[in-house]
Amino acid sequence: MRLKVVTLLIGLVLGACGSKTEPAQSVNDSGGENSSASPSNNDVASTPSQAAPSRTQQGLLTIPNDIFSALPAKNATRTAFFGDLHVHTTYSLDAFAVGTMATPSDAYRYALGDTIQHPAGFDMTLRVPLDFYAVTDHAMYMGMLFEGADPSTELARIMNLDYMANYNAPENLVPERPAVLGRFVGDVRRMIGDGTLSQDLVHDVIHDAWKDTVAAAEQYNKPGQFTTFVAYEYTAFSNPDRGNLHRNVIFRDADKLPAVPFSSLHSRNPEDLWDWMDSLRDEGIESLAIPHNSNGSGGQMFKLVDWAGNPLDDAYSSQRIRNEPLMEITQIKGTSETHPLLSDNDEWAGFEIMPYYVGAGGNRLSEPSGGYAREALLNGLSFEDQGMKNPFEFGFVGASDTHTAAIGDDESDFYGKLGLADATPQQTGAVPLSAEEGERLLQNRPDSVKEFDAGVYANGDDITFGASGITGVWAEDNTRESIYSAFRRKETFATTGTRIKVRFFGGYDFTDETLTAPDLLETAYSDGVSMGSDLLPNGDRAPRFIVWATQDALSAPLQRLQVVKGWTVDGEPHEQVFDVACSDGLAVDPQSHRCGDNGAQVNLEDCSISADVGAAELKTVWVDPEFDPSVRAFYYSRVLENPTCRWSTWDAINEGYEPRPDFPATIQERAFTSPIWYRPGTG
Amino acid sequence: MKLLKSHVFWFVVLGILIFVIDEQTSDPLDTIVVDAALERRVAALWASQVQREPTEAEIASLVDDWVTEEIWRRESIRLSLDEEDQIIRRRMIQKMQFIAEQEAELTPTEEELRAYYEANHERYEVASSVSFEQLQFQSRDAASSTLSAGESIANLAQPSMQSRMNARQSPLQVTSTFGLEFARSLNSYDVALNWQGPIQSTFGWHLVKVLEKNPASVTPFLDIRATVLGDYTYESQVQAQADFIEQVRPNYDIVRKEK
Repeated sequence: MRLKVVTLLIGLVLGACGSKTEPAQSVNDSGGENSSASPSNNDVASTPSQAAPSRTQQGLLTIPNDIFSALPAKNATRTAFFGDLHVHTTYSLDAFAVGTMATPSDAYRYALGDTIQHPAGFDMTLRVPLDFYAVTDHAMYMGMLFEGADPSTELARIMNLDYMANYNAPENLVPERPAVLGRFVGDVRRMIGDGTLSQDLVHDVIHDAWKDTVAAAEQYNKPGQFTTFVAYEYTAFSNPDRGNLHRNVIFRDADKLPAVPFSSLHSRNPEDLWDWMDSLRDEGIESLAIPHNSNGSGGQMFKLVDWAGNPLDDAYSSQRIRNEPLMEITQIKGTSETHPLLSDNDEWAGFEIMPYYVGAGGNRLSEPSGGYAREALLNGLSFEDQGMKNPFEFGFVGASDTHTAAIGDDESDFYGKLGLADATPQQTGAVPLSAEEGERLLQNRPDSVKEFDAGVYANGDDITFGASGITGVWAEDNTRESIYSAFRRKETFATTGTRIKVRFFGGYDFTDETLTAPDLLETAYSDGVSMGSDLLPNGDRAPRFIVWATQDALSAPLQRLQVVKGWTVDGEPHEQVFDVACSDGLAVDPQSHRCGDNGAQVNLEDCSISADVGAAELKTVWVDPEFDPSVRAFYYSRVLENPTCRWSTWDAINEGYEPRPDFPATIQERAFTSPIWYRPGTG
Repeated sequence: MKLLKSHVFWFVVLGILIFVIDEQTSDPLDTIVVDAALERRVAALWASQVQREPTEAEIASLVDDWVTEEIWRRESIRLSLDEEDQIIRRRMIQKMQFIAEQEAELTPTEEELRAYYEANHERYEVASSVSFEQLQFQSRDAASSTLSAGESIANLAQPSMQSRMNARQSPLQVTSTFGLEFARSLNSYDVALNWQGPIQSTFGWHLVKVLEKNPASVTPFLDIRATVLGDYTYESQVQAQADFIEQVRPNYDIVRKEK
């Protein structure tokens, strides 16, 4: 008993030390005594004032700025952990409507390596277990279809839901069943409006699902082995005027939580969500929100006016970045890094572009501007040029957004994301529809199909989906505390599904010797800043970046490392992609900044790839050749694998067809690190 | 009798007669009976939605709606719309399958459940795992020579992207991080306090210290009882349906006609 108390005290002391270390260090740094590099500090828990020692009071002693660790920090150079922060289960209205019966517990079992069932009846098993996972069911109508489909519930009785009784009973999981989602949502809205359905009952139903979600997260969270987060999706859903403004809200802890999650039924304005998160924070409940599918937001996610249509001001930007330090850069519904129309000098910009408005089923194109990460990062610099706060100083994560509880990030075994709605390669459009079905759709809904030599193909948004993505974090250990701190530090990277590991540090003194020294990581952390941080100027010296990546041993080798630089001159945005390390002994051309062609090939008969081409590991110190010390800039790293088959090619081959001609047969899996920002005038 | 002379009386009697005869002879499909039981049914359904009893006028209106729907339904049956409808066919199949499952005894005794668990051991297996430290080197020779150097071995290693400490990793996890060759070699080493190797990974050459090896094991019955019960129930349902079909199939003569 006594031992426990002592341990607890040590824990508290260490915890307190940890939270004060960062601000103390940044005071140090801005004084220029040790290093001109400082970790970015958006940590809401700390404020600079609390660490600054006061010298004006003339005490007998002056408190030194030195920091000491009572115990050597555990795994201070950090380990990569992989996870998915965007997973829907049976409690999501749309997941239930496409037949998903997997619960949050099933989702966590799947992440740990167990096999669960797809609504269409086949087994799903993760290639390799994940380190962390967060179930993020839609807060609006959470659990309501699940409960409404059970005829014995009060909800089913009051709403008279005979039309969806036992909707997902095994015998009802057939393609020809009637759609119920639209009718149900209409009924709920009408019945809340006319008083048939009380707010209390709606909140009770949502609370039950939420409670179960929390319980599952608690049951499967095993500090040191597997981390879960209590989380949900705030879905301000498809609306032509307002766009898709979807976010996942991730809670740091699970001991104290709101009784029901804030949803678009409470407000469709994300600023109201941030108010709610701020008010929870005042009560000691820490959370962050991660916007996703900005690509299909109709250009609204990163637009430069607020909800009311006014230009963004510092209050808006502070609140936004306090609550949204990360954005989801890749997922099944497309990759939101950049768009060919926005980055015409980036040959890799057209990667897994999902061009449609989310929820419009491939019928309405989404405006690229305002929807992609790189452009928003650049706009953020322009705000700073005007002396304003940067609302888009975010890091990157990747996720699946699966609606079957199981992530679909394996190109060779991609089971879509929408249960019964995209369970077969005929439905996704990877192979032709049956002759009969093709003919029928050609007659009745010609916009929904496309005809090639091999037959008539479904042509909705499914074929533009990608088998993507996951989040990597650099954290001390596999616990909520460590991983959540990594989110806040933005020491995160995103991959399009494979487990590429990538390190990215900025500093001024890194050399080629640093790269091979046994204490590379200790040096990188002590003399530089990691991904997601601010790099302060050091006179006129050009920053030097350590860029280092290894391949996923079960995927293709690496082809090249890149650094993407964005900068502004007089508010005008500029961007440039630099290759910085090449596989196979190839060199970067100093004019074009491109690696030579390593000749990696994919055999489209069987998806085999060239042997002995590519690198298991690439590592370099890169100096920006066009550096101007007076210009504000961000840098992030992009890692490219050799080409491999796209999921649609795998599906076509498995069914005996040629890959569909209007989509790339191969892709280059990749990783994106969070940016490092260089800020002149802050040294 | 005065009554027998009344026109009104005979009018009423004839009316009743015509009504009774009509009732007896006409097609029963054309009759829609509205009785107290029906009124109670529609009223109860309405009350459950609106949270109060309906008024007389509302009941009358609900009954009228019900009658209209009933006419729709009967008209659709008159056109045999139910016969080739996939959803109705599927629904009836489900109801029958449900009955077939109900007739089978699906709740197992504890002994039956344990026997099922024993018979399906492989389903409840947990993979083997290994805990180890690793250091990475430039070449095979660099690793070997370090092995004999002994002291402060970690200072001679190359920086590695992969963690030095790897706790409770399944063969799959080792393979996914270090590649198949490494996983195979690692598996051949016993637990030991000293560094062993060199072994090759996707990334280079390594020395390893094998700290712990756990063989594959089967999750104890009580830890996984709920899953076992779920599997048992699912299999029993499938079996019950198969048994039912086997039983009734002889009643059917399947005639395959030439095209």
